[in-house]
Amino acid sequence: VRVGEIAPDAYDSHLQAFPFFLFPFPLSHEFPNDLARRPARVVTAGVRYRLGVASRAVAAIAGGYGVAALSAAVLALCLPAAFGMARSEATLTGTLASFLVFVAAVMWVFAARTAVRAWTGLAVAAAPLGLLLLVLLRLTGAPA
Amino acid sequence: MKEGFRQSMAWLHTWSGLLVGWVLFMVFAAGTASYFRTRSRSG
Repeated sequence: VRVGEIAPDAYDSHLQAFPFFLFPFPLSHEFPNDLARRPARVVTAGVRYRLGVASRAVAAIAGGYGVAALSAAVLALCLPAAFGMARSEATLTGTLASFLVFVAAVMWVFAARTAVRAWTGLAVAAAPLGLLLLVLLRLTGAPA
Repeated sequence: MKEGFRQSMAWLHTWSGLLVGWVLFMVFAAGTASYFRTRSRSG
């Protein structure tokens, strides 16, 4: 810093001895107002990436489970109605197929361009399955 | 996720392998520990 120039941190040099560990807000003569005027916390690219990965993990585990369970239920009700398959065999077939559905859902979630797109794809897959399940439950007279 | 499907799946393979691998390790370690019996004092 050349002579006559203000050092970059000179304006808060009076905070050097402030006990931040006791009270994390630097007290000034306009105390709460200067805090309210502070700029909003910036969400950096790294935080955004990690939030995206966390969102996708939830989508893959919970959302994938939901879609897989829906497909298992729909197949267990659909196969006897469509092909005259025995109900026990239809249940087993639907359960085995649901494992493939789960894996496909996880792959979709982590292949989609954005996390929002991943969630949207899961919803698009789950909506017709859910509707079909409601209709089948009504048709087969099972307790809905 | 990444540039291209193959890179995305490589990333997924790495991290899901680590996660599931450690979960399985915990399952096996806990199962082994449940069979462990300390030697009684009389031998």
